[in-house]
Amino acid sequence: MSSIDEAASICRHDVGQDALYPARALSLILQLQGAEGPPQLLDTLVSATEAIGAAASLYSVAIPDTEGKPFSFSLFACDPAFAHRQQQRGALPDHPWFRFARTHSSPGTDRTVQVEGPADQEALALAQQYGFTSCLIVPTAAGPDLHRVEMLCLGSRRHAAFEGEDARIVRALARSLAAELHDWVTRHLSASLQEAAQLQQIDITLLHLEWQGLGTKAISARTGLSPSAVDTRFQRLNYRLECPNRKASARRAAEHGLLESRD
Amino acid sequence: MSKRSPFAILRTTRPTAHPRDQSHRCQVRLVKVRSGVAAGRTTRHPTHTEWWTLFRSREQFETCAADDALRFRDPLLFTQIKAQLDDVFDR
Repeated sequence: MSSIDEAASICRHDVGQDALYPARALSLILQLQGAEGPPQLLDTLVSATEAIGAAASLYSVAIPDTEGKPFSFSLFACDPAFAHRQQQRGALPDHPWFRFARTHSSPGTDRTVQVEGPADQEALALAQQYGFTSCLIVPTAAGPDLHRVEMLCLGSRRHAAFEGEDARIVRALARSLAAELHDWVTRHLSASLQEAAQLQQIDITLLHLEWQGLGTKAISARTGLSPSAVDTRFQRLNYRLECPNRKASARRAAEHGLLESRD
Repeated sequence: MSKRSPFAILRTTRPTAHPRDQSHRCQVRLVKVRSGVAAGRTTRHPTHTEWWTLFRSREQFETCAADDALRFRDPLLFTQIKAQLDDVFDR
């Protein structure tokens, strides 16, 4: 049996696909970048999830409270009842999958997720009802010095569906899917923040310099603005970004990916 | 990313919570996509959350509505959203 055949067996079991599924899945993964908004991204994620052979998936980004307002963005490519019931249970960043993503850089399965109490057990039991009997969690690195946590979780109705050599193609596709979602979501968050806070290019430059640790005088020298103009601009920026100080504003911009293109 | 979407935005609604109770305020957006209706919820208090699900049938929505006391207990909102979904799935 070829490696593709071996890996395809996992998918045939779930959704009856053939050995050509990796090409179809990859084609759908590549279509993610063309999504014009979260609804279309979710629609394509649902198709890609099915093409990979998974029963369900969830992609989520969380930016914790670091002097600014906590933020999370999630796509539930699964039965919507799971999304609603999970939201009723509490914040997704408290989920054991997310804890795994916060503490790991490599993918892991449900067998590697630590269960720390009854709340974790309830969360995982709920997920099992909606196609996450076994799961593969793919953490996505947000970048150095950032607190943002991202993860893709693929689910299967079979036990141990993502374990062993047989599932290596599925794991590779899942990593690819997570990376494409990361790129899209980073662009989306960055554009959303820029629009919501009405940031101009000079504002982004100031935030970038602040993120590098420069003080008012150094920023003034770099930008040609007077020191008082720098301070005034930061005061306005803090207000628009709903942050208490310029350090928090710069962190918020960085966590949303707004400063990435300038690194 | 283009600001113009070829996909119809079916409804954007702001449920009426008590003016001083911002904890339950959320915006619900319904957008027709290839495989159903994507429903997005955005809340801003106490945390900023945005999450999207995909309803592929009317039955899926009714199951969620029956289970989701927090949001769909508002009968006006429920009726509005159900009417929009009926319109899409019956089209």
